[in-house]
Amino acid sequence: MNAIPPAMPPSIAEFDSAGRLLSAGDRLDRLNRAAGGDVGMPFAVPPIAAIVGLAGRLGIPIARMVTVGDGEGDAELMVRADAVAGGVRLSVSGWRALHADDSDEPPAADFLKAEADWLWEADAALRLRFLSPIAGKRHGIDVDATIGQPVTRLFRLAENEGGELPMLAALAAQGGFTNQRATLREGGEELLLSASPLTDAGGRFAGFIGSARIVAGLAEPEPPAPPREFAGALGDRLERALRVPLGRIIAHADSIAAQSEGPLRADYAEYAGDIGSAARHLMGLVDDLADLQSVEDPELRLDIESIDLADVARRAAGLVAVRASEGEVRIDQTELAEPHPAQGDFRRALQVLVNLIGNAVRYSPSGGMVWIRLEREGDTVCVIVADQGRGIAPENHERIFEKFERIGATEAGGSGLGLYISRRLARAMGGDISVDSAPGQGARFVFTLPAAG
Amino acid sequence: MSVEPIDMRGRDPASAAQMLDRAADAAPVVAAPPRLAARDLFVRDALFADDRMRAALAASMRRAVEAIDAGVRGEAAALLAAQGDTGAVSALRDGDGTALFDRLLACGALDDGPLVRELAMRAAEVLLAERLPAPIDEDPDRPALLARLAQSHEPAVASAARALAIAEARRRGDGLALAVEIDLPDAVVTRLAWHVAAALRAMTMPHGAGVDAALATATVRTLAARDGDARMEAAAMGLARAIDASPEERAILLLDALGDQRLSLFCALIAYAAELELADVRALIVAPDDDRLWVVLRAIGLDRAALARIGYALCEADPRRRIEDFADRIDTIAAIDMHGADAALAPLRLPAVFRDAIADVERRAR
Repeated sequence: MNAIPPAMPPSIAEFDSAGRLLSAGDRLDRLNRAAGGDVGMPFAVPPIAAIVGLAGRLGIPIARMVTVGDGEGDAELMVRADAVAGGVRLSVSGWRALHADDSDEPPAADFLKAEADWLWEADAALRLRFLSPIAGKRHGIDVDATIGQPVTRLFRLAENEGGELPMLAALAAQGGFTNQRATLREGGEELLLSASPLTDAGGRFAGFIGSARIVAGLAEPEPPAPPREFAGALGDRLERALRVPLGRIIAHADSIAAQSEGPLRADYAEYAGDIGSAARHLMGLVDDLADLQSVEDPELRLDIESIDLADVARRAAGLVAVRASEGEVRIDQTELAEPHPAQGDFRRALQVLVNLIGNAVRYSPSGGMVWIRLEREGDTVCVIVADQGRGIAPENHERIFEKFERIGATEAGGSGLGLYISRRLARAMGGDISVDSAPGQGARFVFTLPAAG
Repeated sequence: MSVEPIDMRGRDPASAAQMLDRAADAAPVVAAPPRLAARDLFVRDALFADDRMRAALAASMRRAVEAIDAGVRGEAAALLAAQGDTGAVSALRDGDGTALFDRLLACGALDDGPLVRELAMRAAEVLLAERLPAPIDEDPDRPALLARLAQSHEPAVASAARALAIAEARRRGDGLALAVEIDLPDAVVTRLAWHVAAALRAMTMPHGAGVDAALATATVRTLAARDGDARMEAAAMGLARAIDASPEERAILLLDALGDQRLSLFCALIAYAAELELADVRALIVAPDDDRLWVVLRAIGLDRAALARIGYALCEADPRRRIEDFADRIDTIAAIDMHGADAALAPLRLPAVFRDAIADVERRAR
């Protein structure tokens, strides 16, 4: 984890009761002049002028995060205005140029939930705000007594190999964390905790939304791999250089499309929606390229443990559910009730099934059905994903698993990497993926893993 | 789809007295959102609810049906198993929950005004709460309001606070497990439960004689087994009662509740202080332009500073509210006479059923 960047002292400005600038510290003065403003006039940067005006009229302190153009790039400011005798006092801090962060990416909230056995949430003071009801039942936790307590009353946190506590380091950096080892004080079950940071509407750190995974059956933890030198086409820095701006495009496009700052002409909101979709699509391609790189790395590390493929399949179906309902495709999961233990890397198995089920949904006709079935044959467990799409001709059954192959008309072009990556992962786990299909007869993809026990 | 901006300038720049008069004359029933047919929730181009609201409503509708389905189905299966009707038991067990929901939707069973209104209110409340800004000047090491109350020295307050936290957690669910709590008011759940039973009956056709009776018994038992007090709204009122805030404490508590994003507690504190129904206060908070909210807040003695902070927080959280317009009107609002405000609330203190009936009669008389 990174050291916290040194805090800059806030820059102060004073305004009279009509909102005109009386005096400003250096940084604010430069910002104001660059926008064409001067002493004796309202502040020339509109969002800041608005905050000054509101504080004066309402007579209460107002604080907001504001993004302004600062020189060549953008800067994110924490702006606070207080009504004082005779006018308004402005205090601007957190002057942060918007660059790529170089901390570990915390898990995206969706994957976090999908991998969890249960969820928890804490505020910025690390007091528990929320615990999944199922946690109480499964572990006998007295949820009644635990809400409002510090999280350390519930979890005994363990240091990692570096002597660090990932959760506390994340708290200091106001970011997320993964794989904090912990045990429950009541009952002693071993858990792996991960969390994404929560931010309030003003952009300030407001706590964690976290997941807990039960660890029973995990092999002895291996020492963390030394950071790898990426010789692959998509280096670490390049990947981040793509992700960060794409992330911002998506966030802003979503916020415009949701008209969160007020009503918009309908077609502008739609354009914003299109921008968001396109950016998400690009982000998916970046994900695929990153996966490709890690999958082709001869030192690919997998955490093989005993997993329940029925559980993984249900979670994968859940992740695809929104896409499915948009395409009016149904996913039949009725045969996923019985556990089917297998040996594999939970996260990678989830990734494979999300790929297979997602493909099935994509190629299904509107109103169609996708089936997921489980079978055990000897010492192999199979997950079968079947769809009613147009089917795949026998001569293409091997081609589809090759890199960058896409058969048939390209709808919103994907990368052509999904099945290639999935099969490599499956084989790396000691299993495989095969297909059974013919044109006009839909397709059945079979994902196998060695059975456990 | 665009949201119509509420044009405050279209009204008279009302004096405080005028605001009071208008509040007293306003329709006795607190405004409800436009009638939403359940089917419309699942249509892409619903005009009167935005996407997040539609998604939240649709999800909570499904969970409500799921919870009742699970209860009735399990109970009925047990009864039928005891009778030895294994055919009906497997028909019940294998019945597809999604198909059941679709059938209810298609036959209009979910187009129930009170049901949709209740779920719409809840969804609006949740979406609003999520967007409430964090308070300024907050000591980051100081626990948030509900956490502090849960550790209060007064046992009644502490246990009421924990009960609210648990009720909120249950209401939220976490998407990992099937909903099991039937968390709806009596007025709304009964009709829905019997429709679920009827849909289950249709799923088990053709069947023997005992199935109808088993379903009926199961439904009665499921309805009876609900724990009324577990509902979040009751828990919030319980906490407000336990705290029994003095007029001096009210402002701070209300602002702390907003800062902790506990909108249900916020509404309950107001309802308790103003002697109003929680549901009515909730409707006033969720509506972007109902001036009676300010009349209520003046009636419980909030001063200009507290009103300004509340107004600001609500404007930050609800894009339909215009902060500039609120800033224009804050002086007028703060000038409302406290006692006059209290008197103006008299119509709202009538029982809700009476108010509904009055509205019906007046509507038909026009």
